[in-house]
Amino acid sequence: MSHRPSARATAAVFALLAAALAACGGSSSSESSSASATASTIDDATATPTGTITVYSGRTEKLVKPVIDRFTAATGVTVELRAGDSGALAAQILTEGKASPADVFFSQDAGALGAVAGAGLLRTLPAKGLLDVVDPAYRATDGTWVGTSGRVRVLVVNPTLAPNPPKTIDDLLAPAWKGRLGYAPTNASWQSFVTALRVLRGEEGAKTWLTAFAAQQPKAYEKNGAVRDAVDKGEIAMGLVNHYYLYEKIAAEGAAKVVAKNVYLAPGDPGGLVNVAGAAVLASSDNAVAAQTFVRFLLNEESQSYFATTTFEYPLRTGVPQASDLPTLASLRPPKIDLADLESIEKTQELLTSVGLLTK
Amino acid sequence: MTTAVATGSRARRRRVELPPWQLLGPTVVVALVALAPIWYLVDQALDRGWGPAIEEVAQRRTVDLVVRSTALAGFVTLATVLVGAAAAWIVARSDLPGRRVLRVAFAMPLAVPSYLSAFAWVSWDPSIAGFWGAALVLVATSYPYVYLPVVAALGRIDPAQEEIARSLGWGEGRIAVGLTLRQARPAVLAGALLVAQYAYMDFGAVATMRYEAFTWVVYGAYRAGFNPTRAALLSVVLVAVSIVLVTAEGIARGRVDASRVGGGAARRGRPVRLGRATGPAAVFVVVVLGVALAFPVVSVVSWSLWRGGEAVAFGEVFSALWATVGVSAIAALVTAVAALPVGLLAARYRGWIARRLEQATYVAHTLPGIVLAISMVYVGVRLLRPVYQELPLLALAYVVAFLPLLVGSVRAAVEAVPERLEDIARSLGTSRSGAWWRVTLPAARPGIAAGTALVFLATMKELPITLLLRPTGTETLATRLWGHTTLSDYSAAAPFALTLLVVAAVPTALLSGLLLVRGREDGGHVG
Amino acid sequence: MSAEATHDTAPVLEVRGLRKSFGDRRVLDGVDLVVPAGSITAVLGPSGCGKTTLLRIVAGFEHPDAGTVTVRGVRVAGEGTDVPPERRRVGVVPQEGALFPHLDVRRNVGFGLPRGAASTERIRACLELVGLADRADARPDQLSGGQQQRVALARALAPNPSLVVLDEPFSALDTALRAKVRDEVVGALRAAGATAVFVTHDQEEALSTADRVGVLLNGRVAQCGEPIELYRAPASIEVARFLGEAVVLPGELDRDVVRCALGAVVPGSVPPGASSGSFLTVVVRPEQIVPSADGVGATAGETTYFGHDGLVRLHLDDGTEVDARWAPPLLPRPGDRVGVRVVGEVAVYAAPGPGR
Repeated sequence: MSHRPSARATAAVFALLAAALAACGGSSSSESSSASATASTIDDATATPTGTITVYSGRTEKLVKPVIDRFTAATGVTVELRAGDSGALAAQILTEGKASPADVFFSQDAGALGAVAGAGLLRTLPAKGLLDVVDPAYRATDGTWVGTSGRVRVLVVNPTLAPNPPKTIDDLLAPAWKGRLGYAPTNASWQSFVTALRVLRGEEGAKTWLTAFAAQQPKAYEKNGAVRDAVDKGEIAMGLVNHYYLYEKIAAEGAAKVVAKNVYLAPGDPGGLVNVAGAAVLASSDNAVAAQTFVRFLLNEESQSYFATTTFEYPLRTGVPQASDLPTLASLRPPKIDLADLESIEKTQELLTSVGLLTK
Repeated sequence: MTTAVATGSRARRRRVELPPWQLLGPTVVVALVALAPIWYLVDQALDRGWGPAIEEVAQRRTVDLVVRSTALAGFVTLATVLVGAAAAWIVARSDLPGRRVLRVAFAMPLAVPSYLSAFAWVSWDPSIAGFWGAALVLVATSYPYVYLPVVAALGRIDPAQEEIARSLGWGEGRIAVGLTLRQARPAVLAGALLVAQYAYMDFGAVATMRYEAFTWVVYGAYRAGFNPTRAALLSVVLVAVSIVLVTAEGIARGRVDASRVGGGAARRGRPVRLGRATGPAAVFVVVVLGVALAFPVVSVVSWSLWRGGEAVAFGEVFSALWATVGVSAIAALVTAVAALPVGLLAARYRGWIARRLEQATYVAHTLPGIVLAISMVYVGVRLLRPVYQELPLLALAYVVAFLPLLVGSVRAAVEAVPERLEDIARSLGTSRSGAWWRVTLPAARPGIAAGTALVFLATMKELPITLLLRPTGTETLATRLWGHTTLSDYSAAAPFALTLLVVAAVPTALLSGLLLVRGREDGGHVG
Repeated sequence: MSAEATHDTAPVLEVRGLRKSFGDRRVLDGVDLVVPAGSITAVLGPSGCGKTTLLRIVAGFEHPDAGTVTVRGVRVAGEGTDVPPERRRVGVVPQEGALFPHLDVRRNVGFGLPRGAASTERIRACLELVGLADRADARPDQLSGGQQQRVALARALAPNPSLVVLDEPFSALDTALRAKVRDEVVGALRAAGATAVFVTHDQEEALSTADRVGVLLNGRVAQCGEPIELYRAPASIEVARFLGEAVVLPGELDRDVVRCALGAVVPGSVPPGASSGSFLTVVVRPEQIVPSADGVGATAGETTYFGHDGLVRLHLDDGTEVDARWAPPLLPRPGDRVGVRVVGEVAVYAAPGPGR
């Protein structure tokens, strides 16, 4: 009986909604048009860093806090740290666009950095003393981000169960290893390896290997640490993990108690991929000088040694030694690949799903 | 006369007229806020225009995803209804010993975050992963959504009906299923809607159990694909699912409403003797509580024993605890304030506008946490830049995420307050809105408080929104837990996980108290 | 409290031509009702006659489709006026009390009062009026049904309303309690000098309690008056049938008497236009048919025994069946021959009776 008043109110609601949507449409279009990489680099060597910077970190507070504390002590610049998942933080930056409060994006992997760089939201870093202290293989070709530490894909092996471990990923397909392999299907580094496989062997080649690998009935674990522990306990003969998981266990339990060993794959084998964590300065940063100083700080010898000794990662600054037990990166001769190509993880996940290695 | 009263009261249960502006205004504002994610989704989904959008959605894979997610949500909803209703019946109507303890214990799994439960199971046996693992965890963590309202409803049913049924030759089993639980149908429906939505949006269980559901793919689109458009398009499909669910529940509820008879129980019925069924009932209790509560708790306790571990960082635990309690309390209170007008309007008014406004607050409820988080990022940087990554916007994001939990509670609680009381208040000189303030809402307080506790609980366990929108430097128990488990440092994570479980148990106990104490032990009415 | 109310000669409530439909069901179809100041008026009607709807319209909870409601000379509903309930000063006592469950007795009674010392005194006075001064701190669920009803009355009286309306106030109480609570409530209403309207489907309750009774039939007030007048001289056969048992017989006017199956009976009044020889309808109450040796011959049929009296079915010699209400010692056995006659005046209607 009250048709007219309700119709009027409905109209009012829609007018409000329309206004809100119009406001949104306007702002988003203006942003996408202005999205382009900032070409001019800042010379932070001469400018003095001051104020505060906000760091979006894909690494947890526990890992980066010591470096940040030293940075603040050295420069007087305060750091607002926002730790989260690298991928989610990249999505956040992509959504924030030019309005992002972030000055630095410190990512656990190259893919997330590449995605943000692709949207034109990163500032080109200067070569001198910053990009050029790192091997070109571990930084962006366009200079928008730089690797800060590396991790190598290895086989973690139980020497009793596998006295003669494979040296290539194709050796893993031997009948002897059927049902005795372990992997962590949701782990980002594993998925990076598969992405590298796609880049190196093509989609068909990758699919062939993955299908054969799936036929080996490998055991899926929740995390790399669980793969390592299963190998150590002798539940399986070996697993595909990052190199530092073994060292974490040794550090926690003592070398005497740990049975498992790392086996590095043959030079150039896709299984020996090196993934990097890296950092970048946001194009929208209102304190680019301090931000760039922070990235430079991550690459100084002190910070690089910190990564090497506490997380057992490979320092990427040329000349900084890795932890004593590790072979040098150069001696490993990992597969040659542009890390920016590792961005297409979603396609990798589709491939993994199709061969039955990701979901159940 | 009785028929006249009955028809009369049914006719005026909800007004068709336009609600007064004091109610309509706030409700429209709240509905618009709740629709904020839709604004983002539409804008993002149509980023590349209609053509690519339709192409992206109209894939075989999308259909597969709908089927897979619906299979999971459907199974979980059915199973939670069975488990929740059985648990409620045992507590409310059977003579199983220890019901007082069970009454609260059955609600406790609400305190267990799905990611914790899932992780505990997968670490114990990785082969559990997949559909059944995900279903197990979802049922274990969400059956209290059915159990709580049903056990409250059972306490209000007139035992005389059971006695009459018995005199007509019905057996105990037939009475329990065909009469007692049948009357709790509105409560079952409300709980089932929450569970279904939860099963669609939860990430912890499907991610850990590696079941390729919608949430999994949406997270992947953001975090691995860096493809927000795809994520948004899939989310739009989820919103469509949500609308179907909400509409279906609305239709089912409408039917139940018409057949519901008023009046409360004058006395409490004698418990049903289980007899030979005592054994199976006890096994049911042990299995449910073992799977849903004991196993995850024991598993978390065992973490602290892993690898000796370093000393517990009590300072960090305490500050995380305070941050968690503070943020959750603010979120719960703000959400309660936002839910009041919506729930009141939904309970007291009918018609197109009232229905749509209420439903608007529900549609975002099937959206995964990361979608809500990113949409609030989107809204925040555009409209609320000054409070971006500050408490007000964080609270607003929680409001959007958890509003449906509270709107449902407020609506149910207000519906239980006879409109007659408002009439009386008005005849005593109070305006209509005055009557709501002085009579309806105070009388509905237990139900509203229960909903508030539910939101408090949900906020404590929340992770993706907290990570992206918290004020810089704020660490909650959930973010600390995430930080440590990301590094596989379970001994360091254990104190945070344990604190979370213990602290979450408080609102859970409060919740069961608020919902269940209503029917006083010895029957309230003397006359 | 309402000393002035008793001086007031104008009616407190005037309802004119009230109509109300729910969907296509017409509930009220032109209700007229006048309630004098200081009186207790019962609205009596069968189930579903719209009594509650009438009260809800008077209280302002429902809007009439047509007609007007005037309280103390002020139009509150109809013809464009719609005074909200909170400004009508009409106190409501609903079925089952409907106390505010979250408030104790004191706060329930004080709900319609401003805060302050005067109100505290008023609450005490009202509770005393209903005899519950000692239960001020009790919660509603600690009270018996009758106590709840009395608190509801105290709550309605507290703000000193122009009119109190009570909706089937005693129907939820069991029989034993009912009469007691009824007396207490009516006593309190009279002590307060309040003007009250209550609705009920219980004729005994209406006739014994109220000063005036309005009979609501088919959406209209068929008759309104003092109880005894209503019973003795029902305005229509419907009213007569609704109020107590009625023996309806065809008759013929013969000067001052009406001849019918029960012989010559004396009409209370003669319908206008009726003259000697007119066919009429006679309504006789069963208690008016008494044993009389020289009366109309009849054979006794079955008897229904009520304790204080009994109903006997009489087969009159002309074949007509009537029921008579006699004291137990007078009750015949089935088959006994008896003679009967009618005492007192009977109601007579022009309306064509069953004989037509």
